[in-house]
Amino acid sequence: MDYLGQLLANGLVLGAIYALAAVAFTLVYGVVRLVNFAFGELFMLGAFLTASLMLPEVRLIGMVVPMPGFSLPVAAAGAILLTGALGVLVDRIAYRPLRNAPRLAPLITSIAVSVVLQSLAQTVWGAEELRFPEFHLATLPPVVLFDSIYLSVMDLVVMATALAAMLGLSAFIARSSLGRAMRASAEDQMAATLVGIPVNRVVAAAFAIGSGFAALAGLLYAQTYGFAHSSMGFLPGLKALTAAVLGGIGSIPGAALGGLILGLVEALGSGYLPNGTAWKDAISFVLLVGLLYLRPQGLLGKPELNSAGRGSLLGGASEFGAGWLRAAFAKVDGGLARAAAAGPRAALALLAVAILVGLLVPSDYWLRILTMVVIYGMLASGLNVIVGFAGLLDLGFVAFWAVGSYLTSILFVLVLKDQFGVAPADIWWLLYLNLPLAGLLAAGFAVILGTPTLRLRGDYLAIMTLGFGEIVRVVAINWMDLTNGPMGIRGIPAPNLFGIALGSPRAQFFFALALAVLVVFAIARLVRSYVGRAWVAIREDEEAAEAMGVPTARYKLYAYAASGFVGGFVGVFYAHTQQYISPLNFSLFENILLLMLVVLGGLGTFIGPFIGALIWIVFLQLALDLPFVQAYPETRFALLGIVLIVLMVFRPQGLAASARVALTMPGTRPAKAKEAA
Amino acid sequence: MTITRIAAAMLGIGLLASPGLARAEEITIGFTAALSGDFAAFGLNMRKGLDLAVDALNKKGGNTYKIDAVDDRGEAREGVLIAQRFCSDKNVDVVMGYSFSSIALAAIPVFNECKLPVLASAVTSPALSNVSPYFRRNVLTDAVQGAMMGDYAAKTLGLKSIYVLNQQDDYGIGVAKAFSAAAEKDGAKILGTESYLLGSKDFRTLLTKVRAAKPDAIFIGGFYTEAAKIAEQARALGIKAQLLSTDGALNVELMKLGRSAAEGMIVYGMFDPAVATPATESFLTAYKATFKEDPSAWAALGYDAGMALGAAVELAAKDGPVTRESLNTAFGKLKDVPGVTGPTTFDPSGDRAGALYFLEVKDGKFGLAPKQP
Repeated sequence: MDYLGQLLANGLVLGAIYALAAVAFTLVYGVVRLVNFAFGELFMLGAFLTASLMLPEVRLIGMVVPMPGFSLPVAAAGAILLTGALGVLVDRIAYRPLRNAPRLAPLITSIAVSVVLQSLAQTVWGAEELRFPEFHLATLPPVVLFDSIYLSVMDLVVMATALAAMLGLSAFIARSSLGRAMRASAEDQMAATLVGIPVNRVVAAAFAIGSGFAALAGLLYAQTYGFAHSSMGFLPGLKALTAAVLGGIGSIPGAALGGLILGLVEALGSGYLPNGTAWKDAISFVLLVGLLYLRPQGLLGKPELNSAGRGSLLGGASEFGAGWLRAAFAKVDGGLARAAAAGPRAALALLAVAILVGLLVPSDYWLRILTMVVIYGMLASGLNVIVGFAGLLDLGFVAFWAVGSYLTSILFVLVLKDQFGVAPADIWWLLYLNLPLAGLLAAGFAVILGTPTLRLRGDYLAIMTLGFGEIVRVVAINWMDLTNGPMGIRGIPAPNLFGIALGSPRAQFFFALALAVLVVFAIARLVRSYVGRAWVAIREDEEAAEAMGVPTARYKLYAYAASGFVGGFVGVFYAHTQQYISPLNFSLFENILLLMLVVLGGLGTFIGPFIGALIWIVFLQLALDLPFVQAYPETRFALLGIVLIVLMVFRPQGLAASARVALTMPGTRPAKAKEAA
Repeated sequence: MTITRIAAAMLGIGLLASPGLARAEEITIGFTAALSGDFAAFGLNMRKGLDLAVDALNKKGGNTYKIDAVDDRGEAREGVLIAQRFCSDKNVDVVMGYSFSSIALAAIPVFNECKLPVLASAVTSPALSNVSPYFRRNVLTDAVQGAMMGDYAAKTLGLKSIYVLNQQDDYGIGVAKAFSAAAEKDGAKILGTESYLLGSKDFRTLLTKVRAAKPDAIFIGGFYTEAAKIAEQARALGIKAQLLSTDGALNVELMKLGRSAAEGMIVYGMFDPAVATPATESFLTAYKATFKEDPSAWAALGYDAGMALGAAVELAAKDGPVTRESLNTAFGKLKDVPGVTGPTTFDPSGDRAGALYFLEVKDGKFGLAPKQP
């Protein structure tokens, strides 16, 4: 009894914080339909600002700065106001210009904002955790219920604050005129504008309130666990998203309920399962996947929200940009469009250039970088099949990649070498067998993953696939007999052909290039076939496609399978170039990264993923040599984030958008029509 | 401008030509570790220690040293690229740093190709022993350290029942396994083992389980960030067991984060900030003066790595120009280079023999634990 009681108490404290964060998340989502990945960073800033305001002095950028030393309530109020203002600023700079842009563009800028804020926080507050200052209530002895259930006084304060804040917000949304305006904007922005609601201001207010709540949740979290750290927001941000989806995204009572359930399930799950704490994150995602399967709109959500998000995945354009900038992009675009129109000739020319580069680049270092570009380009192409062509937002792609890499590594190292003592060089041909084999295995996996998601649309789909990706990663960490766990698998042989080792960077580059030719050719054939047309039909309008007799469920599964096949196929080669893999290689960030490459280069294009990969990887390597970055390493990602925001704000449809494969009748595509106007 | 440059160039040629200074070479250290992202603290501390060592070596005259630092962000994908970057840069003579064993393991095949010596300071995986003739480290493996701690807990402290917690990675698993095996051999009972993911914040549930088992002691195989939270949450749940942890927790941040809850925790490490040998003392003062904070064990190991490099360069320079190959040979020949973590000698396996100090948190400071083996 006391065990269960303590677990319930733990779950309630955690659940209160999750609930508060989920409510903040869902408020912004309800109004702008934006999955704000920067949410976790606002959460983190709330914690840092409160801690800083409470201290007599604090070290900022290595310098000691005197601080007012407020008590917790005053500091918290200050931090909430500051974070709220920051939220409005972020909306103004990074999201508002993209209101009419393709749907994924603001998602990508929100990731970029998150990267920028996190890097800046590390620059300002340092890489170490900052101890959260003591508040006098926290020094009181714990409350002991039934002799065995311990709760600190601050735990009670946290729960009470969370409850009061949520009730207050609900009343505000229901009663106040601003609250009513928010609800109206959430229902229909166009109609709200027509009846005289200043939608932009209402959205700004939603961001201010949502960010303030994020700050509140963050500071309560920091107070409970006693620290603030620049990356502290990532996991709670993910949990807030999970809780919001669990409860039905957009519904405030739903988010509160979702948060509470998540907190309790995590506490009970890790309390009763063997080695439960290590599996904790998987538990919450299993719950999420199971619930969405049974009830796609979440616990209290409205079914109509489980539809494609507002705006097209591809159409629309940025609202601003100087004339010369537009002209510059148009030139790049025109060239790419012509190249795309030239078809095979252009592709062969590009291949010739790549071969020439591979022959002429003298430095092994740059050859490795280019190999990485080709690998990430191929992976992003695989993701592009599902996101760019079939229009299904997939955040679990990294799992297929992991399946491929692990299959070949387990076979070569753990089974053949360790169990049977077979030297990898004697079975070099297995690599070539593994390539299609891993592809098929990953495709099978993708179909298993795809089936329960068929009923989901838009952001629900994204969250469910994200859940799958995380489950696979947690399994790879914890199932040590199969994957060797976090120790990873090393000694994976470099590729070899008839006894000729292909280990040198140059050989590997050409190997990668050959695979890329295969991958792009296969995708191109598939996209131009009947299957590809069905995908594009689903992407443009699923209902219409269904009405016109496209069996959407089957073609969605084909898209998952094709995308999974590419992931597994490339994963095999990846393992053999890296020669060492561990679950660290397959984090959620890698998946977000791949998505970013696709959107940056241009969804639904063949060349886009490679352009995205080229920009990303080459930029990161070049930035290493900047003296400023050498002195402040964390600014490298901040710089990258800023570059991404700028690119997205000015060019939300992707750099190579005009090279998009035209599969529709000329003149009917909204994106084209707008650009022409 | 041009004239001064020409003059400088001529002077440079003159200097090179003059026989007395011919051996003054510039040694470029390729330094890589997680310098940003979640786990930046270890890398930044190592870097501070190494910076201090490089300053000291440069002041001494003779060969000059400079650092080319590259951040790996703790991301496995970067390991191979960074290794190749150093390999292809002919100026780089030696590679130092590394926060994660997994990233070092990924990089080693590349270093083998270009025969570039590596001297790492914070990677403790036993998988790195004997991994390459070019790889060395000046930190003990987690297997060795964990076993010493297990002996200490069961024999010296006489603890009868221990609950083992470890972070779910190569470091935590390795150290916890070695600890449990040694403690059980010496008669202690391991009541249970639970693992947690690096970066966890909430340990209440885990500790509720531990509390139900009523152990004499809890061993935390992990870093100070989690050890501090475990300590605090354990005390808040009314657990009074003796807390034991590892060199991962030997960091002044432990007391900043855990405050009174960290009192009485016993950890081990290769560096004892309280031992007042002259070498430690001058390091402590110099470190405090430069960085306005107390050094951690990682800073000390970074510093000692720098000093070992200085000794190896001197040794290599005796027989002609310093190359990657001659430097690698010299590393192998080093004998008892004095340092703040004790003398450095490398085994043929690339590991280093060394002693452990058992330290107890008392009044917010690490001091030698009252009972030593």
